[in-house]
Amino acid sequence: MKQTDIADRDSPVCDAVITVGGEVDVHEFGIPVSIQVQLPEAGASSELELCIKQNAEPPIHSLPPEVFLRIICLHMFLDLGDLRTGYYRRLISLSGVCRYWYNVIRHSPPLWTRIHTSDSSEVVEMALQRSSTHPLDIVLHPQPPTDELLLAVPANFRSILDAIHPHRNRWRSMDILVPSQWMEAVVAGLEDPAPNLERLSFIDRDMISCTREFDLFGEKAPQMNNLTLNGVSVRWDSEVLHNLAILDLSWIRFPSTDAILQTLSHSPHLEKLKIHRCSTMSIATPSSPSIQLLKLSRLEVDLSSEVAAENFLDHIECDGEIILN
Amino acid sequence: MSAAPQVTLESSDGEKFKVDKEVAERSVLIKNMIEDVGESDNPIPLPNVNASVLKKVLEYCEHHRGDPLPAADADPSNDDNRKRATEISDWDQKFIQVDQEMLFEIILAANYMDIKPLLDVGCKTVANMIKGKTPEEIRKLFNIVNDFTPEEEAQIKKENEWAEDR
Repeated sequence: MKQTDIADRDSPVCDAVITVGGEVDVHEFGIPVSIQVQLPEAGASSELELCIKQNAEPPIHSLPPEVFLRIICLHMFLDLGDLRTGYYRRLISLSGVCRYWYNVIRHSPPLWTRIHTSDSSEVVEMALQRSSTHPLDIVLHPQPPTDELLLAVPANFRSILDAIHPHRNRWRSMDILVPSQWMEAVVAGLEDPAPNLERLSFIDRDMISCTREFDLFGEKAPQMNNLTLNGVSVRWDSEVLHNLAILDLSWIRFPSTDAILQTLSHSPHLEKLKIHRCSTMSIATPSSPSIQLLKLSRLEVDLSSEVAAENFLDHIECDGEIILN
Repeated sequence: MSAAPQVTLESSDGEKFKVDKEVAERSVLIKNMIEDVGESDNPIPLPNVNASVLKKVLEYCEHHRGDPLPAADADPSNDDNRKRATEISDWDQKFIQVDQEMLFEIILAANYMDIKPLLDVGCKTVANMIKGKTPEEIRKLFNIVNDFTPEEEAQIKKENEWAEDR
């Protein structure tokens, strides 16, 4: 074989399917996938050659690679749904059908873009390498510590944080759910810019309404349009909070209503805003500016006291549905 | 009332099918050909589709003649779009209950004729067929042989171990 190491980790970026004879381009779910074609080397055992020949015959192998890949993608979605655990267990299992399946799966970066803390560090490394340059969807839901007094971040979780950091230009979405005592360690991994991050959900598992304001992404996450913070405070004047379409804030103690109004003024195209179980240290004054949110279709406000909530709403101009909790 | 405009399609084995233009134009390939060539009495050749498959494809197009065409800009990576894309209607499920050879012929024809909803039905059907099956069961289902070398088998075993539940 020209390439006997089927898990060639150092191979050049070769995004796709190995069949017989040349190089073509296909599209998987609209994403261009370049196909590198490889032939068995002269001298491969005749039994192996026979098997490879036989495997050209099944009707499923008559499908163009992009159609075959579409089937694999649909199957993964049907079988496992969203970012649930066991995704790579199934994907790697499917790759064990035959050489053709292995190569299609191995060389299709869009199949390898999910990073989940439930996967072993070897699988995470494999996914980071095989996803090539494609955007990553990351889920950091580490197992809660059995010893509640355990402050140190477990080594396997730390190794995943370290592994994803060099790929931060590829972060597309990130779901974080961690216990309070690990917050500092996680935030330390989120200090540098994430230029392509579109969605962040950052939840303190213990829902402690903390006032410590973290600096995320060095204020540089210009693509971010969907932000959920639960028990996690950020610097409210940070550019990370500019130009959002969806903002969901829970269990947060705002330094003042003016601060959050100021934040909202940088997202004039906000479509959904939810403020749940939050509080403010000082309400807005009559001289505080009113914020126009003309695209807002839904506004939910729960600011611990009715006075604070009504005071907040007095400074918002929108036509959308308002739910006052 | 004037009759609906019709076109003639010619399969790879020379059989001709006269169908309503509206039905034929469920295929983006045919729609583009008609737009490029203009109205003509000449049959439209489909050299990659034989008569039995074309008959089946036209049955699908006839049933779905009034359906809205799929949005070209629907983001397939969007979960809602994908979820929608995983549902198969009752009629489509019955329609696609064919033997494996015909199933893959239909998928190939839908891909060649650029009939995305039919391609989706075919792909979803195959995706469902492998649901919950082991590699060995999939090999049996599709008549595939295990062509890995022992070294490759060992590599796959290692990868499977990495992916096991921690």
